[in-house]
Amino acid sequence: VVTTLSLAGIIYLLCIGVGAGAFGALAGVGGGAIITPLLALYFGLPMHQAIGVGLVAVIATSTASSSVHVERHIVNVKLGMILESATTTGAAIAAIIAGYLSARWLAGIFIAFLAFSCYNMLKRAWSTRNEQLQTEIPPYTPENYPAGLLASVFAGALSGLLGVGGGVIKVPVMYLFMKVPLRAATATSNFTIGVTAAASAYVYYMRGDINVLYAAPVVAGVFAGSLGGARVAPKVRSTHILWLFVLITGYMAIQMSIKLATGKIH
Amino acid sequence: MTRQLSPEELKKSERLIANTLKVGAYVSFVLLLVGVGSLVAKQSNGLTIARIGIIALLAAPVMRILAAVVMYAKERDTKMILVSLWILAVIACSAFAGIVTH
Repeated sequence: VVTTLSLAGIIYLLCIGVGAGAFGALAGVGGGAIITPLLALYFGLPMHQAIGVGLVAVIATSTASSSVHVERHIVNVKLGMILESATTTGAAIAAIIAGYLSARWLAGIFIAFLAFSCYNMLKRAWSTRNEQLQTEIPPYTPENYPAGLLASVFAGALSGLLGVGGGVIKVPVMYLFMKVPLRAATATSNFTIGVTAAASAYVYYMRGDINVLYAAPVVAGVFAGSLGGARVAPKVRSTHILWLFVLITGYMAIQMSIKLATGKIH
Repeated sequence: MTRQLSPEELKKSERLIANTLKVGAYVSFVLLLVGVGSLVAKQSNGLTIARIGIIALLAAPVMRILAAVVMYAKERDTKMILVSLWILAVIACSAFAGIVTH
């Protein structure tokens, strides 16, 4: 077990955190999806520990951004908590199962998730390329709770298995099936991922899979990144962020596949 | 059973949740900054401070659910109290499962 990090290592980890935090604040996606593969690929962190750091980063993103979004009343707290009853259940079960899966299996599932997220954001970036920012949230009543709860169990399981937020699944389901406006759906998803990640983070922590040495600089960066990102958000075109996300996830899916094929993931 | 709240009342009651999240975020952010700073300065207690920061962060979502329990108890919203307690129970079980499968 590594107990010290070089100054350069700490600075790299901080930067990864700032980038992921800014992404989360600007696009509502990306915390764990960026952090976990980077740590596994370039820092030689075992897959289970890379996922552990991803989970803590997801909690940080959610906590920092939701404190603002709840105050501004963009989050639907009641809807979020009803969905959390399903996400936490899925997450806890998946986190326990993850303990019995090999790193190669987890990496394989992660590659599939990255490819799916990449494709999903590509679609979103393309369809919103000329769209104006939605500032006012129209009045709405969430519909179709069974669909939302089912998707939430699945999103929670992904979170517990891979250390990601699962917003890639929850946001479209809330938007398309439950008829929640996109901005409210994104904020509510962001609100739920903290508690969801906590349900599995406890499993990882107790199992000794949360490496504080790596998690501390990453999470400090995530806080700084999400605070800064939230500040510049009104001035940045979200389509550009989405394209960047597409590039990064696509690139990392390919890199992870190569490493998996050549047996370099442990 | 459930009292209908006006938008103003809803905003006010949700402020407890927002504030809980804010406190959790800032406490853990400061501890992590101090911890990482100490690690850079090669102080021996850096990792311990960082660990407390991570634990504070892990505690934030639970504190937020507890705040929700208080909020829904005031509103006498039995359904939402049960939802909150279910989430707490799942988290408690997961911590226990982590110890068992260690």
